[in-house]
Amino acid sequence: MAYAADHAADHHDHKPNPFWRWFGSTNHKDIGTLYLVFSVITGIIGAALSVVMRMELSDPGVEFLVKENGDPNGHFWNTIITAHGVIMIFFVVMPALIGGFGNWFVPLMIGAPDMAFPRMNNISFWLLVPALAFGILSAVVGGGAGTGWTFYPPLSVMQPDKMSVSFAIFALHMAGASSIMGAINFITTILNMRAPGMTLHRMPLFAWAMLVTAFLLLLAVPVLGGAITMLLADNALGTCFFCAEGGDPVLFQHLFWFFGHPEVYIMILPAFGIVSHVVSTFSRKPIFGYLGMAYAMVSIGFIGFVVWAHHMYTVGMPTNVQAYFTLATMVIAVPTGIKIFSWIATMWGGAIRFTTPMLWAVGFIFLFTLGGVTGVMLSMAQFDKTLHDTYFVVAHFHYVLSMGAVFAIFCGWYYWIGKMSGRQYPEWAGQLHFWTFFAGVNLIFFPQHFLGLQGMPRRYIDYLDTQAFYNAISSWGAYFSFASTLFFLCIAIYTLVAGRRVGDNYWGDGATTLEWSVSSPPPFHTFDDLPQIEPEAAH
Amino acid sequence: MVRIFKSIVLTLFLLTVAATAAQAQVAVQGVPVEYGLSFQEPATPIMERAVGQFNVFILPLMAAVTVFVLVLLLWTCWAFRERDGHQPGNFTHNTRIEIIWTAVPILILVVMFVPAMRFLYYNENGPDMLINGERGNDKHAELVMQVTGNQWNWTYEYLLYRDENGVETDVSGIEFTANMLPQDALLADTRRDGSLYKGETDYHVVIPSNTVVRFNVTASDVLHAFAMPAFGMKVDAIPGHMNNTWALVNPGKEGLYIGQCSEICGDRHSFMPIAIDALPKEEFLSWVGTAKGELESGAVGPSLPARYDNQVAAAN
Repeated sequence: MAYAADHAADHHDHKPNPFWRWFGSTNHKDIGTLYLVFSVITGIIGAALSVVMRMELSDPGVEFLVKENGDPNGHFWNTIITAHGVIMIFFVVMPALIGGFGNWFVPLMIGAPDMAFPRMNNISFWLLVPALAFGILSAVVGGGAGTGWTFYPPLSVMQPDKMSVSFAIFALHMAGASSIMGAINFITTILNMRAPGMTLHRMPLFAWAMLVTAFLLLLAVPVLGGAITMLLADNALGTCFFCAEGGDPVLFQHLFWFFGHPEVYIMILPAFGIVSHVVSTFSRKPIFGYLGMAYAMVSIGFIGFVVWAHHMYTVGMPTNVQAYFTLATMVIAVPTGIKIFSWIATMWGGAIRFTTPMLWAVGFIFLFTLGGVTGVMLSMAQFDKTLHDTYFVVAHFHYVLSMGAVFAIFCGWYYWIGKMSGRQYPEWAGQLHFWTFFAGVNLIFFPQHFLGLQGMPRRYIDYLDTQAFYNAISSWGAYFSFASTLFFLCIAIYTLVAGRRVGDNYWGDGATTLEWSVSSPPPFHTFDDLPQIEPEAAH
Repeated sequence: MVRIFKSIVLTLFLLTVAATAAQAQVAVQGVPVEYGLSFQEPATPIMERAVGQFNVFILPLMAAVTVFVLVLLLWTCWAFRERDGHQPGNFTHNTRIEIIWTAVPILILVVMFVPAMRFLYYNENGPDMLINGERGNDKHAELVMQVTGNQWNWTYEYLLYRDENGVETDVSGIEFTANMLPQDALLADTRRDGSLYKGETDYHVVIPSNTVVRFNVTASDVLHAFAMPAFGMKVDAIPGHMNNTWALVNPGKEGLYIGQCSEICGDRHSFMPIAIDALPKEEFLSWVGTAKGELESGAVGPSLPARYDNQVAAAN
């Protein structure tokens, strides 16, 4: 008997040798860790690119990004904004929220031993590495791809070196294949591997968010794949899908945004899931209106597929079509409002502790609301034409992404780092990071509303002298935020090396989901014996 | 002594008048202003509506929503902070409040949607309603011009001018390409405002005010976007497509307007501005006469409208 018990314990924490553990990993926790490390590295690159941009824009005139003859190097500038967009979207936010937290916590939350397809999970991650390599090549080969992350033709088939755009397309192909396989894995896992008693309606909201996200990925990414494959043929083989002579440049925009709009929900839905858990945990109250929260995400995901052309109000669509897209876009505000108010109602009547993750969650709720209302403004077709492609739009989508999705990434990191590593961050440092980052990003993006209202177009390397003031503030905000991000790196390293060790459930009785029932860090293999979910213990 | 003083005052007064007159002659109407927090001054009915809607209900409503959420959030944080002896509740439903927070946003959206639709359809029908209530855009646009975006300048071709009485003026042959004016050339030209570097072009588009002008917009190479913030006008220039938009510069709003290309188009995307002079019809027509002559005799572009030279003369 003793032998059997020893053997069981041994089996429980048996890890492969380090090489196979990390390079051939089939363990959802290790793969989640790989994703998180990956997105921290790419996040630093993406943030550094934004600092370069804000340095150039800190005052009128082009000082840094110049050609040999001193002229502004607009193409280099375009390459930088392209790389910033592609890296932040495909290599930072998606890997962190979906690959990182999704892999780590979906199986733990639904009581599954691992993901449904562990080897496919492994290749999902490892495809991202060559994808990133292609992405970086696209920024350096032949002067780089200076097209914007949207890769609109004909500009994208008229680059100085065609190879650059081809590399960018390969990067998106690989990242897309990675996402599709990840999506298949999440859908299968969530639909088939929930612990006994965990019905869909008892499933934690983060798992709901990942389920909806996975469906969005599965339906949207193949459309992007098709569009960029046609673009690749136009670029490299001389076909004419999107050229003006027989093809249609606007067709690409429709295909791109049919993917692109669900893509923004792909980035924000997991964030919604994380924030729900954090708000509930630190209010020590169950989530208010759980089913409403879940189905709000489902409806946001559904409507997200029928609003794409609100990115294209200026391409010359018939007026009735613009009217339809205005209406459909405005409708999204309703389920989004339900989510915002349900979070506040979850806090209502609670006993709220303002730990670092809760600060990020509250910051998320407010700043996402701000980005949401500017989104409602932009949804109105004719009004949008005054602001389309200006800095107002830049401010809008950074409020929902860099303050929405990125705040949620930090929120999840501080919430779960003790669970993932077994070591806790220093609370004062987390709070300092929050307040400095909060101040910094608002300094960057709030003045950009004014620049946009005044008419400053986006993707500009230079601007009229009268726009210097708010650009200068925005740049200082960027330096400040970057310093704050470097401070976060110090916190992360300190935590992993010397953080205080924590127990299973270090947040107390507000944290009710299954990941808090296992040790911190969890054993290599969890739930060899499936947990039984009682109705009252759900979510 | 008194006489000297009087003459000094008089001289100063006259100089001020002359300077003011010079300023007023080519007023720079549509540019971003320093520290500007909101839209540029609207110059067209479209932009008046956009700014009006923004000031009257879009911004107040949206600001109210944001402030409401902020105050509610902060108050909740304060009122339900963790305290000794305070036990958290465990309620998870309240049908009444859930109906309210679904219905009220719907009402707010309806309040925004109706004027948004009226505005959108006004853009489609507007010129007609303004002229005589009939449909049909081309019939009522007095000036029709074609705008072509190129890497990295704009080509303008005047196609048709027919005034409200149906009298046509020949504008054929007025076709030129306007490039951004380099800083040294801008500063060397005393007729121009030196602070408009990156917004000023070598040749100006001249349009009549108080008149519907129709722009047919296309591109010769990659995407561009023809934009004029003070007109509330932005339309993509797409190779193989002919988009159109219109502008009616309100009387009293004559002056120089600056716009910038608003769709990424390559290396010099940031440096292909749009400069439009909106002038009273008579001045426009006299410019047409001059420009036609200049271009037919081989000039690359038309000279600036007479105002600019008068302004210099007045200042001297």
